[in-house]
Amino acid sequence: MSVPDCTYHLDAISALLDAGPGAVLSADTLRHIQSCASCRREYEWLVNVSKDLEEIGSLAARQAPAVDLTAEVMARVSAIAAPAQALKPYRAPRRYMVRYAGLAGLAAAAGIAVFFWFSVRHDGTTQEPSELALSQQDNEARFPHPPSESVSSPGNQQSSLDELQKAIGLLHKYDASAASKKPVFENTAPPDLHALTASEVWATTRASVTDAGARDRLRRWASLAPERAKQVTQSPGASPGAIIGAAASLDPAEAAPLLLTALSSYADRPAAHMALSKAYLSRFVNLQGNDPAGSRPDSAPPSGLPSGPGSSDVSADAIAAADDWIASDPKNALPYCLKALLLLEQAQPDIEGALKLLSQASMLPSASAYGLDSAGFNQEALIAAGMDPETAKTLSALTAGQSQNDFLVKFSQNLLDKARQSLNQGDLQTARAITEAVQQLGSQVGTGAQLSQERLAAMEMQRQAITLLETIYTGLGSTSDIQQLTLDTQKLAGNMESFTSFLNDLGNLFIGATDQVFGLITDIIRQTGDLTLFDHLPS
Amino acid sequence: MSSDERLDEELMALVRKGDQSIFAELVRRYQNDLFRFCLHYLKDVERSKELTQEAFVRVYVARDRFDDSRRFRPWILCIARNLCLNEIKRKKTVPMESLEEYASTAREASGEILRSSSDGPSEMLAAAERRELLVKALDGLDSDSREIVTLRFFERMQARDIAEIVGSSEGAVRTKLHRILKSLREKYHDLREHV
Ligand SMILES: [Zn+2]
Repeated sequence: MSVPDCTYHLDAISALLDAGPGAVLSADTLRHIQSCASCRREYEWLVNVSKDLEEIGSLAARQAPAVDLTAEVMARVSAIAAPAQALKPYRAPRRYMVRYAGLAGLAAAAGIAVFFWFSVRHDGTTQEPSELALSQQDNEARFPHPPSESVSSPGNQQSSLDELQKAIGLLHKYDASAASKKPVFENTAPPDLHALTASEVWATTRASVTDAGARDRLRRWASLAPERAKQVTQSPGASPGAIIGAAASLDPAEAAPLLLTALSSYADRPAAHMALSKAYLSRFVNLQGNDPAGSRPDSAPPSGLPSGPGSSDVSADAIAAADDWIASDPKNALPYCLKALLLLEQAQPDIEGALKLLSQASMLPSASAYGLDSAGFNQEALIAAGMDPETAKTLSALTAGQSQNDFLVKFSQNLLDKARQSLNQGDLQTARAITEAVQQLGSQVGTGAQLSQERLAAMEMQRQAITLLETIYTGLGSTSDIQQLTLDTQKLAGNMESFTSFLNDLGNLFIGATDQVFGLITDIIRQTGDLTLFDHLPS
Repeated sequence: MSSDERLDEELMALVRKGDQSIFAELVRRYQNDLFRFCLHYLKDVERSKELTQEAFVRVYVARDRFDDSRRFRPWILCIARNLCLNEIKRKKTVPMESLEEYASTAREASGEILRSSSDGPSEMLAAAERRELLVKALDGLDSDSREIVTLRFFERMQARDIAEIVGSSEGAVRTKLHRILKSLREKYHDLREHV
């Protein structure tokens, strides 16, 4: 038999692998198998191995104990189903009673400000509880209530809340954002890009474990000053990657057209789509830190440019960029959420469209802001700006994920702000959907994380969402949701605890690493991220 | 399986309309399936029960978001898988640690095959030996590959469903499956030569 013939029939045989039960080969292929020993062997192997593997699976299945969880599941489902009726906005004044009774009782009993949970921000400082206070007044005004209204099970509700509060207390013990505090850049001259060596970067990394100033220095070295970034983007030989890396240092209005051009050669790189979408988004919402220093040292925000957040309605090109990103990256939950935020940010918010996107997002297995790809772009930009390649690689590896962390946390805060707005307007359904989506996005980012900075962002996103969900669920008087949230919170606290010890190990590794080991670490991080660093290092 | 012959997706549509009791039928249909699936990942009966329960509750909570055009089983398996992977990450254990359980199962069960199979005795013995070698070969696979094998052969899912669950494309899953079978074949032949 000729080889092309065999190729054709082998394909047909392989296709059997995925065909349903009862699928048969064509008469043509069957004839071929009878006359061709090699295809016949292939066919027999495939049939046998499939049968054997299925048999192994069903033997194991028979060995597993049978379970009956119907009663447990249905009990929980009933508990959820009841308050779900009350989810419709403006319909459930009675439920709000529970909230006030619960919170007031708790505050009295524990002697803590109930607003505390709500007002802890990601930088760990407490802020004025004005938002919640406002929303509470709002709701009280909207739902004048007879104070003696009886509630379904106040005791139950109260103890569920206690559990939840206890769990949330655990979250504060492990402040996921502590390791990712915004750098405060010293007012010193920009570094001499050409003179910086990898050794100096390693030494600074060792110091950065205990010295925040060193951490800030690293980060400053890794980001180009705007003028330098501009030069890079204007140089004729600049690679698309270098342009994307450099554009991160530019004002979004300036960056967008450059990113569009770079994208034409990188249409298949989701990270390139993300860079463009991020640039567009930052024209409409605030993705910068709260601190007056800003997130980059040498870039005073250019004044007069119509690029600041809130200055204009969301443009069609921003939405189109998000659509392109979704199309090129359909399994990533982040672009869906980003487009949802754009829809909510419009002068005429498209809430329905946004919620649909968020629910699509929540079905996906993971989310990514492409910390490693971005580190690669950053490396290219640094080299294009004249940095020694080894130094550029080291720097971009050791700071990888930091700007993704900032972006993700800021991005989630913007979404949660939308949820708070809905909450204040009494639209609990929308508030709940958005906040749950942020919680889910946090967990998806955790699943997709390759870098500890991404993992940190994931935890912080979940922590913020949980804090708001507590308010929403309490408002709904929904005991089962509170119980579920308590479980989620405890799980997150557990994750934070184990992750804290991982970060300690990482710090110890850095402190003790020789230059040679650092070379190895850099390579591993650039390839697979730092989360699996210990698996890849020779012991 | 149960006597109710309505499709999962039809039942899910009724649940969404507010018929909560119908959900019990879906639980009955899938609880053992889901429980075993979690067991593959977690190797812990109690935890697997808890996560199975959790997966159903999540499905119920998300009932309004269930997309009619999607099939129910891959959807719920995807939810269960995410729960399991989170759990594994939390506990920092390696997923699908070992198929040693299956090895012992296969050994214990070879007697059962002898009794139950309709093949002749010599084929039966050969099949049992083949399976035992195969289990050993499976142990040599990486955890991602074992997951694909589990989904394809133990859960008997098609490539497009597997793709949906693991967040990949159908083509990529097929390619991977072929690569896995090829390496399984090599490992299997190596092992057979050593026997
Ligand atoms: Zn042939």
